[in-house]
Amino acid sequence: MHRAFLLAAALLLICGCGVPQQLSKQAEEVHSVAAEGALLAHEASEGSLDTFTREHAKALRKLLGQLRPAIEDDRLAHTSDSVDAALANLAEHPGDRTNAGRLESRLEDAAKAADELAG
Amino acid sequence: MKNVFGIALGILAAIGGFVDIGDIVFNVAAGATFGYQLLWAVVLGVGGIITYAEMCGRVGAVSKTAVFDAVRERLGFGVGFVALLAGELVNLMTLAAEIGGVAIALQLLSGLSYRALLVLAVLVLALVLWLMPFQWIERIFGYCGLALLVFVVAAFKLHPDWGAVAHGFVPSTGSGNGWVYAYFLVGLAGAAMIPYEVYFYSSGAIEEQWGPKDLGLNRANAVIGYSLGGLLSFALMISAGALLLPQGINAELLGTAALVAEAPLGQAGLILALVGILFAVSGAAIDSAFAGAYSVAQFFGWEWGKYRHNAGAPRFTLAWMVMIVLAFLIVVTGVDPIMVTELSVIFSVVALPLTYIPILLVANDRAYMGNYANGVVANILGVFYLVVVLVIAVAAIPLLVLSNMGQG
Repeated sequence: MHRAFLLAAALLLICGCGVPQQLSKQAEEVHSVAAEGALLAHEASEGSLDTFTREHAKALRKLLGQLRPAIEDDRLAHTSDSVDAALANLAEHPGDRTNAGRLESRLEDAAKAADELAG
Repeated sequence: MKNVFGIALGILAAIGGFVDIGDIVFNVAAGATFGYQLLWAVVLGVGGIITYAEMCGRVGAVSKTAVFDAVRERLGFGVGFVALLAGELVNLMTLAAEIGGVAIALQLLSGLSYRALLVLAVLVLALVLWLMPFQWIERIFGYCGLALLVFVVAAFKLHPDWGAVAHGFVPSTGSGNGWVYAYFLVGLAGAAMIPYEVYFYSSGAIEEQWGPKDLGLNRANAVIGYSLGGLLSFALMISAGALLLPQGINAELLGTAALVAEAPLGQAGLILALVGILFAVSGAAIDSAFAGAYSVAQFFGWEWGKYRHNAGAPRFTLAWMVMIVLAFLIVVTGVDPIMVTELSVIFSVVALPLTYIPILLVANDRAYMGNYANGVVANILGVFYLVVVLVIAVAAIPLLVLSNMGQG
């Protein structure tokens, strides 16, 4: 049992715990979080459950937070920070439909910017 | 009429109880990554679970032999003990992932702290296991899990390209990263054939005191229940393929699955998806805790079974309690339940042959089964799936590494 856990831990290290190092992969990941954030914001603007919007936005920020230290490219770092700020805003005001509509546009723009960096 | 009603209730419970966190994670992620291309992998996995669930239900009904009775008897103590350790490790990882999934679903519904909800989830699951009769547990969680049918409606409302969907049922080598495609193929088949389902189904046949007269019920539950349960897997993958793939969204969170139902169906879709996920994952947590206790009790010849009540099978009761405590200790460290889910599915694939080989041997033994031993069709399917299981068992760990856990 002990050996199996060690094997699992070793495999995770070999896999690099899923944090991509290449710029294109990092940009794809930022694009994914931004696009999902835009979808979440869209649903919030239509009237979603506040709790779900807040908790899912926080979970998306956490995903981005795992990637952020590995990002070295300035343009992608800026886009990532902009996505993080929009998600923080959404998590703070999940029931504000007008604000959610604005955040949807911001996140869509960020998703496009990340997509361009992904190539 | 009463019998037909009983069969229908059993089938409904099987549909609602089919999907667990592994199915949700792998089907939504596969849809987001490859669209509908891997639908055939679900067919492959569902065919495997139907074949072996029917076989072990028949063995249980006719010979009163559960899976780990057969494992010890057919593989001997040494190899059987290795099978037990492998099975228990996988059960524990699965249980940890399911408990984490319950806490995430509760968090998305309540907004309370994840760790507090982990404690709440474990306490409620332990109370249910302690207090509720077997049939109630099976039915309540199965029926409430039927809320996941919202994904079938979502799949239609998202207007997928049905031609491409139909094409997805034809086996192919897929486009895109080959290692990632193969990783998802193994994960999808493994999630459908996960060993705890077989341990639970087999022991359930004995819990419900099936006899030869119940073989029709066994076949109906296995064939119709799991096929319709597979429909939920198709719906998850089709919905994710229609909504997430075009937008370049990777599905890395349990909440993403709920969002897939919300987009076409609004708040009602979101609530049904979250409730369905909560009950499906809670039911799977109970099944995997019981499966772990069944395995160890059967292997060592202890008294086991919910029908004996807690005091009537004390070591069995202690075994599921220990499983729950260990699983809690794993998830409370803060490890990501989604990562534990993926690892549990991949490791369970490696353990699958040690579960399936003894079932096939016992189901063929006329000394045990008499006229109810495997016929030609059951043997052809049994051997075919054994080969499939052996191939994916060998490929699982290398693919985990080569595909970077499906990240490419």
